[in-house]
Amino acid sequence: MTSTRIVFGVYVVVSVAVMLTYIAIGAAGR
Amino acid sequence: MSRLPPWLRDNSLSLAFGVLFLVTVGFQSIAGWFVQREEASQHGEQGVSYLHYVTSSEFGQAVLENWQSEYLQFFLFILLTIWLMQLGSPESDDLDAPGMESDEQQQVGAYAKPDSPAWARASGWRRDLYSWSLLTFMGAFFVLAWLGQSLTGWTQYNDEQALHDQPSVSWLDFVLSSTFWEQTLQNWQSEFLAVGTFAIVAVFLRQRGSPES
Repeated sequence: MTSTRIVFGVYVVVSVAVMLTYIAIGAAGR
Repeated sequence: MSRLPPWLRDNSLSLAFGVLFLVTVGFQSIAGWFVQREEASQHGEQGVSYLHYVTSSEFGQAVLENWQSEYLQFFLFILLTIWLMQLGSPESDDLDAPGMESDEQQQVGAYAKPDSPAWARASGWRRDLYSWSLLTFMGAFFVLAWLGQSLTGWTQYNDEQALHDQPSVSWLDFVLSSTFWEQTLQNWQSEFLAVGTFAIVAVFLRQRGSPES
């Protein structure tokens, strides 16, 4: 289960980081 | 498969799709960068660096307009399959079991198993949140991705306006524009057709070995 939690965490963290990054880029007009 | 290390075998589906995602988004960024450089040279300008391109609204918009529709697809599929049914589909509830089902059927609260998550055994808001966590997750990701699409699309739209000596528009004006909705609906229509096709075709066709059949 530990490896499954890690895969879950990577999916969530990477996806959220990508979305927040482009939200910031778009809002900043870049 | 049995010769794989346990961590790899146990997560092979998620990891395979994760690798496919990284490879395809990598090639998408390279192809998009080439297009950007081509267009720049047609206007007698120099293209931007690869790093500049992948951190631009142009690339962000191209990525997120597809993400939002995928999360919307899962959100709606999970939501609608609570109540709606397709006779004979492996993705559908039985005809006599639509709706939220009892705690016993869902194995929560007093009916939770010893190895169930703590919040499945809990009462009140924690059990409610756990019971709705998958739909909430997909809904939140849809909103984030759609917001990202709108903001990056807005910046890209205003860049083009400036290029043609046109006035820039507000974010709200962009969200109400046909440009934004054309970008949005072209993704939604394909998801809805694909899900509808899957729901009905899986009734009659089979794939040996797949739990989706």
